[in-house]
Amino acid sequence: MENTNIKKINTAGLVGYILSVILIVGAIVAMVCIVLCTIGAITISDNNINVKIATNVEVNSTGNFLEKLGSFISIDGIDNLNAFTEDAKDGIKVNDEDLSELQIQENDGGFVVNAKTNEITISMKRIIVALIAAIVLLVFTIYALFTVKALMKALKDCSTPFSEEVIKRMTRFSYAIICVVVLNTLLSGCWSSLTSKFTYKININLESVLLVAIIYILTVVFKYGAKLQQESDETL
Amino acid sequence: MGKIILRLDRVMADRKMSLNELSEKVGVANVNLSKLKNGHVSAIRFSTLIALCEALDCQPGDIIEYEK
Repeated sequence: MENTNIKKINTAGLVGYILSVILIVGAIVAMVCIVLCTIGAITISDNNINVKIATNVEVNSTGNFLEKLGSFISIDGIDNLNAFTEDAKDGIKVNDEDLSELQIQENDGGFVVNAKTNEITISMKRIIVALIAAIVLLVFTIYALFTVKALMKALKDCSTPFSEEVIKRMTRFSYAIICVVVLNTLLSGCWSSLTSKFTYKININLESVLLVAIIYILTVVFKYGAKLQQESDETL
Repeated sequence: MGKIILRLDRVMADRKMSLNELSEKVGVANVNLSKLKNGHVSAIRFSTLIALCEALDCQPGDIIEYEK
């Protein structure tokens, strides 16, 4: 391979190496914070904590105000804004979530909705489980970042990308990233169930699956490339 | 499965030709010829084989042998 291409690979490896070191430091700091939070959550004697979430929505609309508002909130049988706000004083439901202290103001281009959710009770056990899940995910993420660092170091110093060292690092990285994506998918249910009733939902992120598939395929392609390189080197 | 053995050292000895001399005639580096002699290669190009046969005045069969 031409020297310029190797130089480009070495430079990319150097940049990747620096970035991976920064990311590792960030991930370790995040893990320390989460571990401290977990210890704090365990030591808190309360079983539950109550939170109120405020929300603010500004909608620009040129058409019928109530018609547009109806696409956000159920307004059956309400003829005008005053009647609606009067009716909504005691609280309304949006996406099965109770809202209170609702204030709606009409402005020039549309309307602004201010509301607060009713108090949501979150079990301390769920918070601890979510924090532990985050720690587990971070441990695997840090391992994956270390494999990236090793891969970038190999690319930084390599004379050909089809060397045994690069392939070994790349294989480790692809397996680590598969673990991280699978764990992230499995553990995402712990976080999504924090504020709602306990329903464990698995959200499969297709982009992550595609990314992992591409990385794995590239690893296999590089393995084949290394084999061809070896055959070429051993042919006289 | 059988294997291919290179008899380059035997032919060179018959022709009383050194590695350096053969290297100059064939245009292949000393190191690579040494690899050929010791069987540390997995393939050989026709062009290399032709050059070797010309330099050593022999047939490919004199250099390459199949062993079961």
